[in-house]
Amino acid sequence: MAGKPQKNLGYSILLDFYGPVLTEKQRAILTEYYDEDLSLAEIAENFGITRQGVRDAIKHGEAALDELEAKLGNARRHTAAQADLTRLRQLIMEIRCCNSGLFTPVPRIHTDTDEMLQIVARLDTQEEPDGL
Amino acid sequence: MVKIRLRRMGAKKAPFYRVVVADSRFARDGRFIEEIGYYDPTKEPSVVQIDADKAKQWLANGAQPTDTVRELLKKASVL
Repeated sequence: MAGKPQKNLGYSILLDFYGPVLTEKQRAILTEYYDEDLSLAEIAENFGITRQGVRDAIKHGEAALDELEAKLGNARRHTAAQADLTRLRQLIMEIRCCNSGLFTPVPRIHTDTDEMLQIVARLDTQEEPDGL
Repeated sequence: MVKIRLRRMGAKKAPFYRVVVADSRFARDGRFIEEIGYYDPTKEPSVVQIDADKAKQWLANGAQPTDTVRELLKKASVL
């Protein structure tokens, strides 16, 4: 490890949540930095600004994203909800498997778990509101 | 200059990265020469899959990995 600061790709996710709140230029620069993995020099060339200017824009953008996440916690909550949904799906599948392994499977369990899976799928897509 | 960098794919809020070889002159329009692997940080632990032979060949030919990719190459025991 050289002592260089590593890109923290976590900002890429924060950008999904709070990108629309940043200025257009800030968002564009952060996108090139994190999603396209461009260097400061490459971004500077693309935008016709100095490398230092790019660095400042990124630092300011990151600070803004950190502050928004600290106050709103959307990314944190999203991650937790996703983990819960995954676990829930697993549990439902286990119940289904147990049931279908029975000598006489209960039809009701099959249809109910079907509906449960549909609800989980719906919650999963509702987890995806744009922006804030 | 030829670079090895990450390119984000995947849905919103579910990032997934390709490891691509690209010409730095076309840093903007997304053109790339070859895909040599991927990185999935959403899994626990994160998954790094890189074609070691291709990576080594590109490195031997002077391709420059970004710092982020360099880390991944180390993780995948290519470097």
